[in-house]
Amino acid sequence: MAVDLETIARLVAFDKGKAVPIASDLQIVIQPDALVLCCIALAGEDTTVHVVACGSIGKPAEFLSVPDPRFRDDQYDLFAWIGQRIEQYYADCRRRGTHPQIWVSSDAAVKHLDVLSDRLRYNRERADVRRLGELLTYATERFPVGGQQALYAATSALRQHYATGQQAAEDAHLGTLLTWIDPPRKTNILAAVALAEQTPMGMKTDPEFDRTKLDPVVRAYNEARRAGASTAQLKRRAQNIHDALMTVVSPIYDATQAAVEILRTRWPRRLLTAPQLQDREAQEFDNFMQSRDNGFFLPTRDKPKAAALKLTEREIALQTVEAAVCIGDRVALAKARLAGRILEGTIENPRRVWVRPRVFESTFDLISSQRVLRIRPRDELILLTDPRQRVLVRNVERQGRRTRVQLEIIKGKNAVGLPSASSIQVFTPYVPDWNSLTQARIQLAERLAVQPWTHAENGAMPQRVPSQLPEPADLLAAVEALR
Amino acid sequence: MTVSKISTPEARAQEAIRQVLGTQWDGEPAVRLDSPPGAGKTGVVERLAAQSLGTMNERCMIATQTNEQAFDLARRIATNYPRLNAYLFARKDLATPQDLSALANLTIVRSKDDLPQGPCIAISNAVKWSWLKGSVPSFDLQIIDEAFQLPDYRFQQIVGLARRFALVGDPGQIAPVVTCEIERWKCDKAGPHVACPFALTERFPQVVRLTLPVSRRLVPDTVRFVQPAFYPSLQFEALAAPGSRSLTLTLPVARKPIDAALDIVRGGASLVSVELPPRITGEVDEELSQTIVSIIERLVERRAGLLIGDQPSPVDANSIGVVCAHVSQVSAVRERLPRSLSGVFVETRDRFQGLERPLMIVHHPLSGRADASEFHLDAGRLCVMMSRHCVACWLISRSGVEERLLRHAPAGDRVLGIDVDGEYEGWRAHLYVAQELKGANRVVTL
Repeated sequence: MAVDLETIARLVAFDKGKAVPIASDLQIVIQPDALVLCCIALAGEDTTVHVVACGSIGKPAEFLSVPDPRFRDDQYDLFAWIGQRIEQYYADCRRRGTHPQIWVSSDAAVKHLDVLSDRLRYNRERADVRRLGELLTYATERFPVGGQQALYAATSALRQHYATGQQAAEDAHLGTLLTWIDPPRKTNILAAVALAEQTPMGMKTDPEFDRTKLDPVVRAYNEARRAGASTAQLKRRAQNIHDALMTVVSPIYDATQAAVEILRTRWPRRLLTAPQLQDREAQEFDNFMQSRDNGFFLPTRDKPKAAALKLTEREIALQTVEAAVCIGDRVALAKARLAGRILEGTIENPRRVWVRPRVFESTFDLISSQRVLRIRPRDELILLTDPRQRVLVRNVERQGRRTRVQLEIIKGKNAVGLPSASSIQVFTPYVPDWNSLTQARIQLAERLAVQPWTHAENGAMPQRVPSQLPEPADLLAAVEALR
Repeated sequence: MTVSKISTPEARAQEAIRQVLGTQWDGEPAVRLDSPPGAGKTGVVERLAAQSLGTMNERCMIATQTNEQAFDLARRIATNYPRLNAYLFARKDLATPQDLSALANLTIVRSKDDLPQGPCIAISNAVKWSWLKGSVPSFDLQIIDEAFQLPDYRFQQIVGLARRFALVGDPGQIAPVVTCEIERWKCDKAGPHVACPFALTERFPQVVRLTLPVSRRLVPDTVRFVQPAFYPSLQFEALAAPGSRSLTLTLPVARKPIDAALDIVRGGASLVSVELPPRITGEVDEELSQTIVSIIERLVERRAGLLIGDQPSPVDANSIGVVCAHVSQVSAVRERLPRSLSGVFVETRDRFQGLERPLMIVHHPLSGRADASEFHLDAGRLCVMMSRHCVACWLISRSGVEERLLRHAPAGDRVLGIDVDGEYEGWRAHLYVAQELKGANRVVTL
């Protein structure tokens, strides 16, 4: 049903010819000194960077290109150049006790960075290139973790806040998203979107541009190089390539900056849990950098213990951030209500019944008109407005379009008390527990301290150890005799 | 003696259980037991636990996937083996069913320090076991119930608690639910997200693998569809003889179009497809929900009865289950059920796992859809839906499912090194069921 809300928002956007907000609060924490990074690869060479634009948010970019990234030394010099900037940025963040934040244009650009970090962090030829790979790994490994603040695709960030009147897949183009958010006046929105689509916004150039603009100048450079042209001639031809690439990378950089600016200036309300998200990211960043300082290796493939730790962390992070968004954001709460992930309704029959000396049972009914509910008897729920109160679902009775839910207070009987009759209350299965990740890590460290044979790396299966007891003639009969 | 040479299904089922029990006397470090639906997995878990404590004098722990499963297992062990003491290990403030407290040989313990030091059977869910702190006396045997729902990273957190393992479950049902992004481990057949029996046998192919050869729940007519569709590599048969379970209708006169779907079951069919006119409806199809309710009402109106063996019984709300793909569909059915039929169990397929009803009505996951996503094609989910009944099952859908499947080319997110293509397998299973039901004249069009 949450999907329906998004569909409705898209239909409204289509009708108005303008994107509509689908959040009440800014869902992310924008670092004031976040870095915008736009890398363009050479067509067919996904592990290269032909040109890069790099700059802090709200600031002009520095650009660097190489004539042909297939020349390894040139390519490595460009990587080293990016590495210097990221190294400096990370160092500043560490000094301030905060965390870095890198913005790229789209999910495709995130994947490009991911491939680069995987590839470069094992480079054996140049330490500075390897270092870039390691530093990028922080951002790319954090990216899949719920609530992370290290790496943002501008398209994803905008989609969290706006619904457009186009299909979800079409939102992957930053230019069209920005057009829907700020449509040009006196121009048909679909025509404006079609025009915006003409400009590449990912990490690759347009094939037509390659054929007519880029390939001729790269070819000319390579021919001159093979012919032993002078440095000045090569420099001139390299400048031609740079100029051509600038027409591609500049609009992407500007669009990414525009996306950040929209989020920064038009969303004054921050998520209630923003400070916790920032603190967690800063802690993660500090841990990562300390590991690098201590010379720990970044593995390509996780051993079972590391995999268990990482997957557990991801699951907890996702649950925490979903609960956090639900608490803070009115639209997220509405989605949860429609999807039946929270329980909302009017209180009836609040009662406090004496059980024995100093023990009372506090129960009440909640009448919900939610069409979809994901609760069942013996589920435990938490009062959204005061998490000290926990209730147990005793019974769920569907009465046509309404549902009567019988609840018993199991925690917070005195501290929070019985809800008053006719009041409207909201209960949720989860509230964000910002300590849960730390607790889980401590517990996992204890539980996984010794790797049993089942998960030991290259471990051998133990030998069978037959029982020393006399074995019954008929094993099934022996068990049945125990009944 | 091999199981297949034994004469009757019952004898084959018993011999398979003897083999499982025998692995414990042989001291096998780990056993993987693959079971088709309704083969008596929980019965095997009970017997393994009873043998471990009752005849081998061991410490045995059982890990379930949910609290409800732990309650059910504790109840069954305590009831079926009144001379054995069992312990339900539960969270400090977890509300437990009142009937458990009344069982004399079942102790509910809230702290690990209250667990006995010596031989015992201790039952809890896997998450609770993973949160044990400090030293715990090692268990001799760890039984994982519904093991194919336990991802390996969770198994890893409890594996250190015992020295031998029995992983019991149904390989054809819903895979473990991992909500976060798992791209990093996708190429790893023994990755942390993989069901623990698959991961364990990937790392150690020499782990003993056994199967239960007989389904006690399903009738032969259903096995004929379900086994080839969902268990192409796990042969099994029905324990029930053909025709030994049937639906009777005291009022035999058919007056409504829906009666054709009931009559075909009365004639001996256990799986019937009921098709409404084609329409793209989205997730909630009000007309289809009403049709489901109409079937239930018609069963009651025609005074339907069940004949299981020689035991006749009337069909009431408790005999019927409805399984849907989405919670919203569950709600749409529930809100249409009259109060007198509120006992009909309506749930999603995820929550129907492990449960059964004599009569089941399935809201087809592809009904009314314009597309066929990986979620809706999932073979495990359809398998759960089509294997909950012990007498009959109606699949309700908008017509055109087969055509939609034939138009859909499962792209599949194929990964190097991973032979399993879940989307393709789901597509194949769905198409097989649709075509076989049509071929067997089991489609009633309304």
